[in-house]
Amino acid sequence: MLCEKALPLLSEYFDDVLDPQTAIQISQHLGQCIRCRREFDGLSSVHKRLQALHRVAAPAYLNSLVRHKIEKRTRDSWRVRLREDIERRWSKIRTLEGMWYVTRALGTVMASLFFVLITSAITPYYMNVNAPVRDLNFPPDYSHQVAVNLMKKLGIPTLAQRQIAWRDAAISDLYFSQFGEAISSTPKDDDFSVVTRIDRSGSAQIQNVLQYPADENLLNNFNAMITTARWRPASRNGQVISSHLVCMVSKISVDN
Amino acid sequence: MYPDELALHDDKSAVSQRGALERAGSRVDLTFEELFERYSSMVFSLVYQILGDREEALDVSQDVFFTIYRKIGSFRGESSIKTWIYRIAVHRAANRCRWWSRLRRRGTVSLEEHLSRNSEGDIYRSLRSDAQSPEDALLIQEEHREVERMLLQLPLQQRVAVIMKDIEGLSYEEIAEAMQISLGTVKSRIARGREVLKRNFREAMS
Repeated sequence: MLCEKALPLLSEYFDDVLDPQTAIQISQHLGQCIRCRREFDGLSSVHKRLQALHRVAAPAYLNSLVRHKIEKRTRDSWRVRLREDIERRWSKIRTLEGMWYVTRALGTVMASLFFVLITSAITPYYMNVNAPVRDLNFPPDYSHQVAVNLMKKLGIPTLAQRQIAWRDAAISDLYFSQFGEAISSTPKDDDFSVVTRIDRSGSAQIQNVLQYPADENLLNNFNAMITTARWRPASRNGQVISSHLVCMVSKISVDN
Repeated sequence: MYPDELALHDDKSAVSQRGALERAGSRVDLTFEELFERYSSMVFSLVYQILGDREEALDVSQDVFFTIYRKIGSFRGESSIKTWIYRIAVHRAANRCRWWSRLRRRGTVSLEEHLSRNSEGDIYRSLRSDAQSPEDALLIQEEHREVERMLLQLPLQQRVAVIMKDIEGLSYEEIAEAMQISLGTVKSRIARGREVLKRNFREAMS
């Protein structure tokens, strides 16, 4: 027998599972061939080393662990069992090599979709926080003008007849005031005059009415507007001025 | 006995499990507890050899016996109960091994790294060995660690076949049945596995 034929059969010869005729041929070959004999001895050595790794006894507490697992499973409701079954099956699916990439790709797509939907679902109040804020020197009757513009926007007919000097007044420019400072408290204002306080959370409310307007709706509308408006910290030349807040409302344009 | 203890918590479930065991009784003349007593060491040892980690082996052994508990009623007696249990154990251990391999391929962690942090099994084994002195125990421990390390380097299927043949002492037919492969494949896997081990041992010695 040639070495090429004998070598692949050495393992089976070692385990004594070859047919008798082949076994005799291998045995004769091993008696003559030093190389194959060395390979056979190597196999024998491997077997001895592996056999030396005798059985490792199971720890005594394995019994308790199994018992606990069975008891827990028996006590669990059908919902828990169903959930665990689904989790187990899902874990099998997602650990498949191909599925791993599919699930990751799906996750990425879903996350992207989520962010797109979220950003499109919210109507943003556009306000560039870093934009410089003009340091306004309010003219003495400026607050009066505010009230006029507001009432014009709110559709108060009596005020609509008044001449409005300022066009496209931006109401956000007008609320550049310090905390607790009266926004509109000019005694000369013949429509209404209120003290409005804004706390640091940005919520505003009329604190005191100095002068009531002839039309009570005007005051109510103003209060509704001022309490529902959003406020943000003021900034000037890119620097946040934490002591001031700016009202974030859409630009109100005023017609003649 | 397990079903009786379970009856303390859930009569209906325990009765159904007892029924399952009784139905299986014509093919398995053992209660679950007796099965556990008889085969727990066999299962734990096999799983430990395949995975090379004591904690993993404990975890997988629990799974194996839990599966036996659930499936004993559907055991059809086409093979011996021992081979059936071996099949479950090999299947579970191979699954766990593949899981580790996937993690390694993704660069998360490797089984070898994990094992290097958990070498408790070697100590456990050396304490149980028949060494006469601490020096002998240490030498045997080193020897076992080396053999285990080389075993773990074998491809999974070859490793399982070699372990079942050379450590567990199963016949080729039993291995074929437990691994659900043909006899020729068993022979080839064992031969290749031994060949790789032989080469590695030689390299290590040189």
